[in-house]
Amino acid sequence: MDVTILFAHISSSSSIIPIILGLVQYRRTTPDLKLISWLVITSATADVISLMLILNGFNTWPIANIFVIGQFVLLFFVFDHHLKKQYLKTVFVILVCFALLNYLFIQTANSFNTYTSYITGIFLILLAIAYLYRLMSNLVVEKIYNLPMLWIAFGTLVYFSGTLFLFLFNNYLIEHQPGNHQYMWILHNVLNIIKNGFLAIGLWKNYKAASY
Amino acid sequence: MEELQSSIVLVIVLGTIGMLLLIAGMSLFIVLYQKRMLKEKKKQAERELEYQSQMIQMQLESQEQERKRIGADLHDSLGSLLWGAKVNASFLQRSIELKNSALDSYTELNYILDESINTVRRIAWDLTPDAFLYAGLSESVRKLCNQFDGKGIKIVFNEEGAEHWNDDRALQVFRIVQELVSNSLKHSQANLLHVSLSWQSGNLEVKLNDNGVGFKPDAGRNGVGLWNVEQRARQLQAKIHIGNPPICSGTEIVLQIPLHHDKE
Repeated sequence: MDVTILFAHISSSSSIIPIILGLVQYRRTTPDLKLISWLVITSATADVISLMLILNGFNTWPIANIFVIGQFVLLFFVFDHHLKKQYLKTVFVILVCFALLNYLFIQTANSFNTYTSYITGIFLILLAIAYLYRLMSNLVVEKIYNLPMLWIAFGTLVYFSGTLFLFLFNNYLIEHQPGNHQYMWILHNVLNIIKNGFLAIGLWKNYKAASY
Repeated sequence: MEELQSSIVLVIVLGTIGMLLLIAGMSLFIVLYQKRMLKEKKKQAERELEYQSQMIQMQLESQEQERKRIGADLHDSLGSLLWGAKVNASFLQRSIELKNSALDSYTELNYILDESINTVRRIAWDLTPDAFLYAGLSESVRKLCNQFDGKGIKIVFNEEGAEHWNDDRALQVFRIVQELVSNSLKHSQANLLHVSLSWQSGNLEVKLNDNGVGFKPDAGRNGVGLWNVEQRARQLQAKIHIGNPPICSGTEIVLQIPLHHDKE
């Protein structure tokens, strides 16, 4: 089996644990973690559809680009649930409008929407940092490592910082060394596995806390 | 091809360094958070202790003011009324020639009035800190012991070294001794109580021991009095030990009080 496909399978499978954890506690969990459950379900669905499209020789970018926007929307509402700032909502609306315009008219659905990916990634990194700063200022819980949202913020930071670096480097490589840089997608899948791991820890912490 | 290989290595190296830095940052965040939380908890505990201390101080001050007010009221109102009754009784005795049982009743009335006047005067004196200011700690404790000595219990007072201590802290010590003596009289069933003051360098040791039934920490019985003693001891930064005397049965209470006062 091709290494890229193998990592794609592992990456897709890595969402199974957070999906189970999300569904098990869905009814009694907080709205932000409900959104995280939706995020992992969306991610797994996008992965399955992409895999089917690849196997049938179709372009996967339309689905991947839609997923980038969907992931941004879900994660924004997760952080907004805690930060609750009007100006963040305004920026969010502007970014979503831009992402849709980019999807439909600028970079179009059939190619990777790098602009959307960069801008939404940077915005989510800033949201995660703002959330962590707020945590540090307010000292909301005694043992921070038991707070589910800490792991969600860490997952967001790791995944979006990593993908931002990867995509920027990929663009640089394509410019200087044209060719098929499949290993970039392997690294992206590694980041996705790490992200799902963090999300699973967050959901597990919440499940454990609710069980006591 | 070689260029591509080195690019891959570069991406992996840079990516790994970046990830390691991120993980280090996240770990640092957790450590810093926990450190800050610990500091904040410590601060909060200190604030609570300070608040509690202020509340106790206010409560004790208010108790002292209330005692003073009751003392003054007793002296000025009830004392005056009793004096009035005594003057009127004397006037009656001088106006009407009393004989037999009427004379006996008058003598009895006069005795009761004298006793009442003396009791009111004594209670008012005990309640007023002014009396303590004049007498000082040692003299006040000696008076207290004399007052109850022989009334169902023998009270022996000893003093090692002697100092005239009469500030607010000394008054707190006196209130503690007052409460402990009163507790012993009410609950210990003892017939002998030793009270001693031992003046040491920078320290005063107050010791009370009786030969009664021993101390039982019963909140219903000793609750408020003992709470008062503990709070006053806390204000004085004193160490309090309640236990059994080394030889006989009964209760032994030892207080070690630091002397933060200007010696006269």
